[in-house]
Amino acid sequence: MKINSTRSFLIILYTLAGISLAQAHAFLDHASPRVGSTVAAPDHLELWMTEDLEPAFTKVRVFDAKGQEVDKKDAKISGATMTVSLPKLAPGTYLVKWKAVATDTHTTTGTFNFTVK
Amino acid sequence: MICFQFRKIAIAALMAAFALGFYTTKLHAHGLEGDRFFPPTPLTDDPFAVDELSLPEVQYNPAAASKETDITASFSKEIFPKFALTISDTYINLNPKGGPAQDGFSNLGFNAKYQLWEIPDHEFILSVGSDFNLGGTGSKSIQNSQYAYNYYTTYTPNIYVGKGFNELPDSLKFFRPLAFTGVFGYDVYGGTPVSNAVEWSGSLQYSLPYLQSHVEDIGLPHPISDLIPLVEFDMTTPTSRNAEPTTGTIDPGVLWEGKYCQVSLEASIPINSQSGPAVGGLFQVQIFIDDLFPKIFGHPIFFNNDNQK
Repeated sequence: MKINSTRSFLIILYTLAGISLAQAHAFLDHASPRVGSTVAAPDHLELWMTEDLEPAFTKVRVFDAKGQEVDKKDAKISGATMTVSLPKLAPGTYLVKWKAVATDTHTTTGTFNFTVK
Repeated sequence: MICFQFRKIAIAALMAAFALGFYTTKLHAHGLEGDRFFPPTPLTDDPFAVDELSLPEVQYNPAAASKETDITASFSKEIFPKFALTISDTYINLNPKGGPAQDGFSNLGFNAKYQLWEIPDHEFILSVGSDFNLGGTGSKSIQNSQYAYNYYTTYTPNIYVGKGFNELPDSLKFFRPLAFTGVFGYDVYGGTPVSNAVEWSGSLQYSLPYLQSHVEDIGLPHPISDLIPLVEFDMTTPTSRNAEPTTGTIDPGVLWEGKYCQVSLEASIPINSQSGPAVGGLFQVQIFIDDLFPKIFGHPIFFNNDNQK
């Protein structure tokens, strides 16, 4: 009885595995400028995520200390990376907000700072 | 016989959940509140009503009277948005000193949980729920041992909480990866001589993934950057007069976050002699079924809508 139940469970599990494309949540792997770093004014921000992204729903924005969006609103999503251009940034701390939708529609969000010296 | 009947029903319910889940499409996240991922931990039931599969959780307890090894499996399925049901069972092996070994299943355990209050910007979540331990569904060999209370059905209303430390000022930014989860419950042994008891457990976690991706990238390589060191505690305080003192363990350890699974390893340190004479251990594999089978898991069976997370 127990062996049959276990076997049935495993058969179902592996059958469903065969018809389901395994994906995962898209988390931030690393960024340029690096998370929490102090850098010379960068001309763009790039994020490398852990999964391929759905361009239509993925966003990245950069804000200054006053809460004003400073990026050029030209975000590009390609594979597992997102990039947005930046104007010449004044010294100060900037907040990055991202929303990543993986190709299987799992959604994650994140924020981090970097500082321009 | 009763035991097998309940197990058959439980397996049928599991298959039904698989089948129903297959026909829904939108996914939302496991254990995420704002930027924070709260991992499931071995001793403290996390506050999320989401799809989870723990298989297996192995607990070793070198108690004075008998060495005990428990192997637990549990499966949670989100039924309605923010509401999930869990079924769990434990295979127990007892090795009494000077006596024959005993083994068998514990009572079937069920849990219902609802995410009552969430504030994503503050990485805060509060949930309510209840455990049901169905008396008489365990193996006779176990019921006749020190687990005599397995004859009885137990109800445990619970409050679950999770909170990240993301609001700390810049001067304390390296403490922002900290998070706390806790469960406060009350065991009710209906109509039995067993004392009711307060159950209180919690975890304090330091997430290196959170440090790297939300606070400061200090250049940790994988797999170190995937680790979450933590300390858990798991206490029981009987409430009847002349009851035994609080018993429990403090459990330092570490979680490793993989892409599709999580592995936990903890030491289990008894807080007093009534809790055990020596250090035990915990090992758990948590499978992220919503990532592994995204078409089936990661969304409620009913009232699934596009506005969810």
